[in-house]
Amino acid sequence: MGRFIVRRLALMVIALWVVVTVTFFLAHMIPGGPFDREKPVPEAIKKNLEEKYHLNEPMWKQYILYLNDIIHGDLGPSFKYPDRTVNDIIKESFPVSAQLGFWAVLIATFVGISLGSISALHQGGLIDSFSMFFAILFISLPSFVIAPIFQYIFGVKLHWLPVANWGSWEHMILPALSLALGPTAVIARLTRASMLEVLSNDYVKAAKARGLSGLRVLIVYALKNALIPVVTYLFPLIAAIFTGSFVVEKIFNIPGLGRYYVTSIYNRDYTVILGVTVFYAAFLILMNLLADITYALLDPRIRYE
Amino acid sequence: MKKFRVFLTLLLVFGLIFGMFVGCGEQKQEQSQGQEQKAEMVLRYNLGTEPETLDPAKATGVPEMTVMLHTFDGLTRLDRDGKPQPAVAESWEVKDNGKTYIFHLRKDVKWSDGQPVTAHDFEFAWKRALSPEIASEYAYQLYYIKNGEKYNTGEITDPNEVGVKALDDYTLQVELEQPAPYFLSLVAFPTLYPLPEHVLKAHPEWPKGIDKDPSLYVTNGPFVLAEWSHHDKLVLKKNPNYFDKDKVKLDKLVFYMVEDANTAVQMFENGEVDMIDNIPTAQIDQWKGKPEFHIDPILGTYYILVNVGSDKTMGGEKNPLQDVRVRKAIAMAINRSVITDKILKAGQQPAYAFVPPGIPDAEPGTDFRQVGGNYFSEDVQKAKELLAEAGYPDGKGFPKLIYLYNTSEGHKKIGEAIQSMLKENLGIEMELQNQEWKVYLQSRNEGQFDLARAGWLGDYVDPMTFLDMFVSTSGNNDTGWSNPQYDELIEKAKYETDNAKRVQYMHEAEKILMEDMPIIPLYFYTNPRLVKTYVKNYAAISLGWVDFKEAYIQK
Repeated sequence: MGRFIVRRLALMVIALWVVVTVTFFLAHMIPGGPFDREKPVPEAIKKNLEEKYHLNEPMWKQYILYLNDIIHGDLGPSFKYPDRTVNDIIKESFPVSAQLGFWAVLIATFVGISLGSISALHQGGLIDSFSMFFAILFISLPSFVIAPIFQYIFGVKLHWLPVANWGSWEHMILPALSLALGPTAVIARLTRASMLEVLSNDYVKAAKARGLSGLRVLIVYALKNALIPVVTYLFPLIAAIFTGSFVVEKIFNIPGLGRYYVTSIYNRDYTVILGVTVFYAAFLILMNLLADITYALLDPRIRYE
Repeated sequence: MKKFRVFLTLLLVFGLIFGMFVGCGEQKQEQSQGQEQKAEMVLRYNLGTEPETLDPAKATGVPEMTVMLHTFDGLTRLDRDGKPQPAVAESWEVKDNGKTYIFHLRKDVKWSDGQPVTAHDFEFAWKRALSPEIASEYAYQLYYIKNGEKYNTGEITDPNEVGVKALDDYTLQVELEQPAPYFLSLVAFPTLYPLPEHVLKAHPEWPKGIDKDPSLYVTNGPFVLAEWSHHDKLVLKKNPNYFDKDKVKLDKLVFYMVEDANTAVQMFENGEVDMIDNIPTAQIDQWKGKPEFHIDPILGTYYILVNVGSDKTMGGEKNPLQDVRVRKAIAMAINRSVITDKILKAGQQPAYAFVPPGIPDAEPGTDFRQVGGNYFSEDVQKAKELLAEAGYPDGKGFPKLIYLYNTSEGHKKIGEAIQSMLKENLGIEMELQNQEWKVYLQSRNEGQFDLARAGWLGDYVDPMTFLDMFVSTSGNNDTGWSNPQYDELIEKAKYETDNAKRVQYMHEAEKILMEDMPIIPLYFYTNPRLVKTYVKNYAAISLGWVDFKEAYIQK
C-alpha cells in the first residue's frame, strides 16, 4: 500500500507538469491579451506593461520562468488584479468554495444514500417511484434554473433567506442546496441500484433468514458493499464541488474559486488560468488517490501491490 | 469491518476540519450583527464587479472610479453636472495662455492618518503614475503635462524634468505641453489624485495588503476603507479627518459586487441593496412607472463601425462600403426607434450624430448636441436611390456583409433588427457573427469585419472625448477611414484657447465625420437604475458613476 501511494504521488508530479505545459501554451494561444481594452492603451504604455510582466520575452523563456516560479510555490501575480497574487486569490477563495462544497456534499451523501436505500427496500413501491421521479427531475434540472427559483421563492416572496452574498449561515443554505440537488439525485440512484444488487446476495438472504431486522441487515451487512459505486462517484464529486461552481457562485455572488475558471480566460489572465487549473488538477488527482485507498478499505478483495 | 471503521474515522476528521471553516463564518456573522445595533446611516450600492485595483495610478474602470471617488479628493471634484469645483485646491491661476497652472491648496486637508495633504503629495503621485515601472494604463492622462510622455516612455529618465512642482507645501505649479481646456476636469480624476508619500515610502508595494489591513489605505476623501473582501463587499466608513466632513451624512457605504443582473434585482426587491445599475432588459417594463425606477444620463453612443479601409469584403468581393453613398443608404434604412423602443426600452434616444447630448456648448446653458443638430434622417426611399446610384439597384449584385458583435443577448437582438431592416429596405444580405470580447477586439483592430457594433462612453465632459478617436493616428479608429481635414480640425480644437472657436472646430469636425460616415450612429445610451425611495441627494454623474458624498437616507 505504501509503495502504491508513493508511486501514485510520483505520477502526480508528472501529470501536473503535463497539465502546466499544455495549459501554458493553450492559454497563450488564445487570441487577444490581458491588456487589450476597448480603449486601446498607447503602444508605449503597453510596452511598459509587458516588460513589467515579462510578456515581451520569447514564449519558451516565459515558460521556463513560470516553471521556476511554480516549483518554488509562487503562482505569480494576477494581470487583472495587479495588487493580488494568484496564491492570494486561491488562499482567499478556496476556503469559501470548500466550505460551501462541504455542506453540499454532506447533504448529497446523507440524503442521497438514505433515499436510495429506502427506495431499494421498497422497490416498486410508492416511496420508490416518488423519490426516483425527483431524482430524474433534479438530475435534469441544471443549477442555473434551480438557483433563481430558490432566490425568488425563499428570498423575494417568503423573505426567509437572503437572495445572495456571503457572510452568515443563512447565506449558505440556498447555494448549498442548489449545489447538492444534482449530486443527491445521482447518489440516490447509484445507491438504489447497487443496493438492489447487494440485497439479492446470499449473505444478505442468510442474515434475513437468521431473523435480523430489515434495518439492521441494511446498515450492517448491505450498506458497506453497496457504497463502493457511490465512493467512485463521491471523490471526483468532492474535487469538483469543493473547488467551486462558476454558475452557483455567480448567481449567489459567492466569493469562491469557481468564478476564476471562467473569468480568468475571458480576462486572458494567464497566471490565474494556470494557477487555478493546476490547483484543480492536483486536488482531483489527490481525490482519486483517496478514492482508490478507500476501495481497498471497503473491499478486502482489492489489493494494491 | 475494521477498515470500515477507519473509513468512518476519516470521514469524521474531514468533517471536523471543515467544521473549523464554518466556525470562522459564524464569528463574522456575530460581528456584523453587533455593528447593526447602532443606528448608523448605511447605504448599499451594487458596484456590479470587483474593482481591479484601488491604486489611483493603475485604475481604469467605472467601478474603481466609483470607490476612489469616495476615498479621495483631487485638486478639483466634479459636481453633479460634471463641472470641476474646488476641492483640495481652493483657487488657481492660469498663466502663459493656458500652459501653466498654479494651484493654491487648502491648508486644512488631512490624510486619514492625520498628516497634512501637501503639494508634494501631488507631485509625488503624478510622477509615480508616469514612471515606467508602475506601468499605469492611464498614464496618458498625464501626457498633457510637460515631459510627461517622454518620462513615461523612457525618453528622459529624470523625473525632475516633468512639469509638476511643489513651489511650497501649499502651492503646486503645473506646466503643460499645450493648453488643455479640460485640464481642470482632468485633475478630478484618479490618475491625478494625491498620494500619501509618507505611507508609500514605507510600503513601496502599496496598495498591496490593504485588503488585510484597511488602515494602510491612507486617503483624503469623505470616506475611508473599512473592509474589502474580494468579490463580496467593500465597506467604506465616514472619514473623521475629512475637511468637508459636515456635508457627509452617511456613516457607512457598502459596495456589493454582484455580477449577475437578475440576482441584483432580486436583492433589491428583497431589501438587501438600496441601489443598482444594469437592469435586465426583460425586466424594464415591469419597473417602468414605479418610483424606484430612474433613468440617469450617461455620455455614450452606440454605433456601427464601417470597414472602409479594406478593398475586399470578408467574403472576398469588392468592398461596396468604400462608397459613401452605400454607407449613407445603410444609415438611412435603419429604423432606430424600433431599437430604442422595442428592444432597449430604457429611454435611449435615436442618434443621428455622434456626440451625445449632455455636453455644454460654447454659450452657457446650451448643449453641444442641440446646437449641432441632426446630420441625417431616416428615409428608406432616399436610401434606395443612393444604393441604386452606387450601382446596386434593390441590392442587386451587393455582396453579403459580415456584422461583427461581441457575444451578448442585447447586441444580438440589435444585430438581428438591423439584419432584417437592411434586407427588407435595401435588399442587402447581412450575416451576424459573434465573438468573445477579446477576440472581437482583436478582429476589430485588425479590420476583420465589414460592419461591427461598437459603443463609446466619454472619459470627460467634452466633445473631444468622442471626436478625437477618429483621427487617422488614433488607436481607436478601426474603420480605416482618414480625412486630413478632420485631423486638422481636431488638432486645431485641441490647442485653441478661445472656447467659442474651439467648439466651432469640433462642430465642423463632427459634420465631416457624419458626411463621410465611417461610423453609423444608432442611439445614445442611458443609465437605468433602481433606487429605493429613501435614498436622497446622490449625484449621478454622466460619466457613469455616482457620488454619494452628500447622499443620505430618509426612511
